[in-house]
Amino acid sequence: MNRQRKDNLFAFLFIFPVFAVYSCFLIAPMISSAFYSLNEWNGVADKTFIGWENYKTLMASSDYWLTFWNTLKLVIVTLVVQITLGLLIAYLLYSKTKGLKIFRTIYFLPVVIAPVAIGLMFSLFYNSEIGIFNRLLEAIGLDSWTRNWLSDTRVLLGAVIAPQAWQYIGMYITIFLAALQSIPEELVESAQIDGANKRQQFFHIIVPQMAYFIEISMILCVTGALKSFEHSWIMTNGGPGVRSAYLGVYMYKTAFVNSNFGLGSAISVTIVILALVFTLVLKAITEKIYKD
Amino acid sequence: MSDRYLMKKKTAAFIKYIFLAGFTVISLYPFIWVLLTSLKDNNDIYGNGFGLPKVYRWSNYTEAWKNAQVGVSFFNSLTICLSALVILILITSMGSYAMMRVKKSNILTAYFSLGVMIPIHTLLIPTVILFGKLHLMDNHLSLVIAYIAINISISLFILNGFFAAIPAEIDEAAIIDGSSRFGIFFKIMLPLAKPGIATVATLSFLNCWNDLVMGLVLISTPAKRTLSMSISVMKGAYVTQYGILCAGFVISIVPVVIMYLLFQKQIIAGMTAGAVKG
Repeated sequence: MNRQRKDNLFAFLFIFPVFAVYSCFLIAPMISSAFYSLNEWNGVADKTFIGWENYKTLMASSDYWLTFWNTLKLVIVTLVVQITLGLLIAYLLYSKTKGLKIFRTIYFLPVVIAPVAIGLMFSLFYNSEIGIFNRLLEAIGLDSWTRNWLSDTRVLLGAVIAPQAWQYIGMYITIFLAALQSIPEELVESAQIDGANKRQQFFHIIVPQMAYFIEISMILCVTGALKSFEHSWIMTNGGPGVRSAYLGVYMYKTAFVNSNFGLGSAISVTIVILALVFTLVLKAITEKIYKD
Repeated sequence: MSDRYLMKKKTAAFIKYIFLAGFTVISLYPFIWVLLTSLKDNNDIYGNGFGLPKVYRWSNYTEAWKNAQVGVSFFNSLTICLSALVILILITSMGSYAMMRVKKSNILTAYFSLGVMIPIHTLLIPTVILFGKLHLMDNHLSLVIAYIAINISISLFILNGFFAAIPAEIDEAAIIDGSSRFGIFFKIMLPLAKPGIATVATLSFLNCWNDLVMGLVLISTPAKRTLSMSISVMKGAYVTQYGILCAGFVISIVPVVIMYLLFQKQIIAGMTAGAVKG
């Protein structure tokens, strides 16, 4: 056998295992999900093809729209909190900070912990008897603000969003810090010589240099929010009803609690479409900003 | 420079450190509270929410480990994650080496990157159907396969960078010396790609260890639960035994925290891969 044919055979043998696992257990399921969404099906009995009926049901379902808006609120809160604090803290760390590594290590710690553990931890914090939130409010004399955070519907969604917003701030600090450290120092120095103050440096030199990283981080924020499940599931099971559920939780409940696999698949498909739409919109927006 | 300028600079630095210290407390204190609470009994928790435990109740840990089945599920998770990890690393580094250095293919690379876009929920229903057909439901093997599949895209993405960066002369020299492709891969390439493999290993271990939802849909027997599943079950079963709940929490995060402290560089590189290069 000549070298070329030997290499071809070798490449086939080496690529085949990963290709097979990936195709059978990721791509094929993904495609069948789209197919299931066009059927009425409980996962056990025979499927009945019903075309777009599941999607029509979703569009008319108040539960779907409630979880849709919950997810959107999560996206907005995480975008604002994580990107803003991430940028701010990364910038503070970047400007000659002693103990930078220690700060970064601590700030990143929550990111690596299982979301289910973080959810459990916060449900203890929210506990009306032993939770630290009520204790702190009592300690500073705001007794009237204490409440049962996970059953008072006025604050429920915020209480479920908060741990997730908190947990991943460190991720964005780390990304932005790495981005800042990659900015050529001459750029900042020449601006200083031209007499730019700190604020001008930040908005006119640093932010434009970081546009790419901010874009990537926004996409991460959005796809992260669309993937979220554990925090809501462990703290409230998405309840009461679906009041504190996101699309992922609603999909899980529809498919695995109410055994409606067809409708559940339709929800999955809308999640993928939303992820794509958000990504494309964010890309379009940043490109427009780039041009201006 | 004037004194006033210096004063202003010092004040700014002071405010900065106060802010950074404040955020340190916000990041760290929750864990310290849980750690302290895990060693208290309920009287102590009600009466002394913020202080050190009056009596150290180590029995909370044995209770969580034995009765709440945290121990069993700890080893379940460990076996599942490590099995997935070993196979994942083997097949992705083989694939990556072949795709980057033997037969370059942009179509394949693009095909493998599709997985990054797929949220895990969209896989739940078809995965359950598929493993049902394969008679692998309620079997750890199904979780191992699912975890491998989920992590392929990001692992290849990281490894491709490493394999592509190794100079081409190395293969050429080895081929002239008469080494086979197999020999080159196992003896030369794998050792050279070690940093990439370490990144993939730590990242995929975390992804597997921290997963809840795949376990929820694939496993039903209590003795086969993963650690995340046991923690979520505990929340209902030990609803007012806060000390034991916290002990379960601590046990579940200890391996992750130790790993984080040992492999911080790789973990950060892995989790921010895609956003930050190199």
